Amino acid sequence: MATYSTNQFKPGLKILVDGDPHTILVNDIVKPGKGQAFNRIKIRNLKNGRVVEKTLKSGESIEAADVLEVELQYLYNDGNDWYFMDAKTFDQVSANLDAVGEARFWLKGQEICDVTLWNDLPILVVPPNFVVLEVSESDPGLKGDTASGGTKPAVLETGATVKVPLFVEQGESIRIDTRTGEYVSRSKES
Amino acid sequence: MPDSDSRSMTIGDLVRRRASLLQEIRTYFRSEGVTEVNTPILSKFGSCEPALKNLTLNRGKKKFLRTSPESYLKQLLSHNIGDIYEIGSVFRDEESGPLHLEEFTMVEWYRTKINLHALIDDVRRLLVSCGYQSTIDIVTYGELFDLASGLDPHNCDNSELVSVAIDGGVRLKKSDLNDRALLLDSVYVSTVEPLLKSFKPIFVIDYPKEHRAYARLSETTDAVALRFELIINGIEIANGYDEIIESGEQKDTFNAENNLREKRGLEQMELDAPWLDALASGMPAVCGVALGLERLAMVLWQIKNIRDISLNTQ
Repeated sequence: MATYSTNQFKPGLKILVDGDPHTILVNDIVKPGKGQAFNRIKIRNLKNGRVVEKTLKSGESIEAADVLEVELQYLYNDGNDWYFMDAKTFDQVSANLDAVGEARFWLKGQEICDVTLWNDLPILVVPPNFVVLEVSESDPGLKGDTASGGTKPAVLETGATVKVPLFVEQGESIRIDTRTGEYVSRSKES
Repeated sequence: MPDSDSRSMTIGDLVRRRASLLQEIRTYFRSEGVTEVNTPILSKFGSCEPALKNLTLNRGKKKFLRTSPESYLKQLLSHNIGDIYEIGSVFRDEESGPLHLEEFTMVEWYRTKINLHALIDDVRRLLVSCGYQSTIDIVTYGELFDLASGLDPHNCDNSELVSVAIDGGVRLKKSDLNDRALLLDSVYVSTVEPLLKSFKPIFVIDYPKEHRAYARLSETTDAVALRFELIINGIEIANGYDEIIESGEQKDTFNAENNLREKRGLEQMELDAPWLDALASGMPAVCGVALGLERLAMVLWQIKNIRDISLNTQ
């Protein structure tokens, strides 16, 4: 079991707190006048993104989290899990719904994703910032329909629903910003 | 006050500002009849205080770089030479961050025949002569602690401290649960310390006996130590004591510190015999203050990082 002492603390270090892997965001040393020194850290839970503050006595050690950030290619979904492959080693890992989360709305196959592995298992999947997906279902837009702000819902090939401009038609490919889940433009890619 | 952005301060500016601050301090002490002394930085004895990490040299026999000039100054005081002060480097291993340096400049002085409140006025006058304008109120440790945590630090149970500390995000081990000094610190850092940043400058007085350090206990209630800390912008600037002058009492305090060291898994320190001998030979009643020069400069020049005030340019 690898550990880090508080004097090794710095932003970006991955540690295990309350059973979950966290990354250190801020590390401050606090010392009451004649008293014990403490490290006050702000940490982000790598599984759910929540940020909390913890205080440890300086000189104590905390378990290191075996966390690795890798680029993996998304392969397919078997109805339960999502499968990813390391393009260099061809090693495959499967990610469950908790790890894939919202990313599942943007993945159809081949995308290179940033995957956070904890003890070799995916805990977080971040899709590329932009993806191109086909519109599988959308009603023809009606000219002059301004009540909907000039947009209409469209269902994409991955099952996600996004708002698109009225001129976008079924069967077209569109570019999506996965960070906001918003339509960016039509795409010439098929 | 001049600029708040330290990066606009050249080494030349810094050198000149430090020089004039030192001049103001020396002028103050001269006007008060306090004599400047220079005592050794190297000692055979390290500090016993559990919260301090000694820096050591090992050439043949182990020597310590002083964490403060206290021992030598007290040895001088026992010769009845009157009030003295020293300005010089002190060392604390592994201290880092925007408020701590491993080597910093301590201004430490001792006034005989005055009490703690007169000493607080002494600090106020020194600050005024360095150009500090704000008034500084006095608050008790108990008032601060109660305000921040709802607990009475002198009388509450350890279990109450534990529960407030844990709620405040402090990780405690089983062996910490009966270390009252540590539990008080845990509640302090998680509740009091965050409040202090938004406070006016204060002298905190009447520390719980677990944090007496080398201060005498009050004659009216020995739950309270005759100590103060000066805190400005949430930063500790100075620490003052009505000093222990009985050799036996000082020895008990050293032993208690070594016990705490053992409990915390820290090295046992050899008792500083010359210090104890000096007290045994007869010591005038004395109050003393240690003030961090760079910390004071941070306040006076509105600088956020102590490294911007150190002349260590490496």
